Amino acid sequence: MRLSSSSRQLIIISLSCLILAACNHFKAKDTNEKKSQVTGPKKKFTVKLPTDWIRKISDRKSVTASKDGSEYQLIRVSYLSHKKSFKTIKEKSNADMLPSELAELMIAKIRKSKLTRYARIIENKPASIGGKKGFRLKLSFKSPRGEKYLREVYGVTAKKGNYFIIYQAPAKRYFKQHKGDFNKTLESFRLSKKTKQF
Amino acid sequence: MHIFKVKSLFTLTSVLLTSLLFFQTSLALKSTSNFNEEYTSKLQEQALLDEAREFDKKKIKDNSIFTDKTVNQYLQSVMNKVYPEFKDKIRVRILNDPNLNALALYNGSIYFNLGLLARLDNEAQLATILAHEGAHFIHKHILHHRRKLKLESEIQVQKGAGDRAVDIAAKYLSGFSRDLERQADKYAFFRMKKAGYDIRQSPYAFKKMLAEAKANNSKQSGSFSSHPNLIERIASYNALILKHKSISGHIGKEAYLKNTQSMRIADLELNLSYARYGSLILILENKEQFVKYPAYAPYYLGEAYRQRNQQGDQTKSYLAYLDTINKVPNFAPSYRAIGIYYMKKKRYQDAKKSFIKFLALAPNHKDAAYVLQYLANIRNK
Repeated sequence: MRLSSSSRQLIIISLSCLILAACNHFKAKDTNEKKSQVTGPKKKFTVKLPTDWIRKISDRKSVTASKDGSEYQLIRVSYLSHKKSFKTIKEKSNADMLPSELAELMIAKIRKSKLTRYARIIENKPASIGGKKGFRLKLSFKSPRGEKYLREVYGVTAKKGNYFIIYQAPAKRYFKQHKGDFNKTLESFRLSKKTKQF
Repeated sequence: MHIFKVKSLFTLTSVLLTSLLFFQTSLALKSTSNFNEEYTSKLQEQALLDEAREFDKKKIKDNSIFTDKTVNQYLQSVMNKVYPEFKDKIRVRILNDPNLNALALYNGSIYFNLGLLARLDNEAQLATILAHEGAHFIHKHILHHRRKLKLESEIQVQKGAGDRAVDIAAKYLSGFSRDLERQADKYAFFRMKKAGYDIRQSPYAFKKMLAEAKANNSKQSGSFSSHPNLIERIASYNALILKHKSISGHIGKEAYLKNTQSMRIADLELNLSYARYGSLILILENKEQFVKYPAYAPYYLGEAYRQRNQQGDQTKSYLAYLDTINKVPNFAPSYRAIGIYYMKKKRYQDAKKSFIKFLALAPNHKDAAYVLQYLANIRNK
């Protein structure tokens, strides 16, 4: 069966469009200050992401942003229910948990992941997240290629679930370079609903 | 007649020549096939060596090695005692891993998990595991195992069973076959006996692992810690003991406890950070095990109960903290822990006293910032 040249062209264009659509996981860069504010899944939080970063409002759980690709720098803000937050370690959190207790569970979750199994916990301290009391973890780990990465994890518990804000980048150059952008994101984080404090 | 003779001679010569040619060709083919097999084998061995070297490099880099000198030197000395002809060539390293496992690589690197090391009682039990892993290395079990899997995988691909081939490929990372494990048991047993160890200790190491595997409902296929593997190891060693008359020998309990002291608390902390509360409770609720730990060990039991948080666990944790305070009054973490307990029970005055005591004992403790926050929270209560 021979296809006419116009049909072939049409198929090629359609396929190209499909490929391009599949590749376009992240939304286009936008430099508009107003548009840098993002509302999280299920309207659980609002956060301002760096304006020139590419962002992805992925599933029903998180908002992710990166400037050059997740290998170079990554910010992820997520909301997970108490039931789902620590599913990988078969544990459940609750609204009455202290920040230090939530951090303990997060460390166990970090240890469960193959990538961060042997991560070194550099810091585990209380922190304020969106005006609420939470925790801040700083850890270092090696990627499968042997490159050293640094990760900061902020977490706060609420009535029905937990909020986590993660910043991760290679220790050499990138982490320091974009830490300022992340700090602004962290400061802009707001919980949309009232959270129960212990 | 003459012509006939010449013709016969010609036919005979041709037949002889053809046979010779055929014979030589088959010889050449056979030698080519042998060469190919040898070449493939060398390639496989090289690949395994490269893989092992990569693994070593990765482990050294990624913070996964437990670096305490005393413990490391002790393990190496036991390995050298069991395999003196391979002195320091079979290199033992300890992994910061609470899971009960050990593994041997093709280049003679043996990795011993901290969790497994902490469960053993004496040197003879340690020698059992080291001798077993050493046997895998000496008998090139990894090579046999991979070849078998490759063959099975190829047969399945030829049959068109793609998924089955994928399953087999996944087994590349799993443990050895029953035959290879039995061979390792037998050889390890012989080596332990030769090194003068009490061979009756050999099944105990596996019995401990089985108890722990049951407590954690471990389903790690292929690894030491899977139930069928352990049951078989115990049966295999028991059968070997029955066959031998002279079974007594060196146990080395004191040397073991002395040389491995530093890793015991490290293992408890590791279990907590991996949320392996069941394992920690299993160790410290066992009176025989408990004596191997320092006097402040009940604090870790309390932490395991608090974090597990099942019915009745909070009271158990409280009692464990009190026990620690009674035994070691200057051990700061107990005051932080009991302070949190009081705070949750709304006994704010008791909580304040405990937090203040904690800060007085350990002002620079890693949890001091949290304790200051908690004190601020209950200041007006």
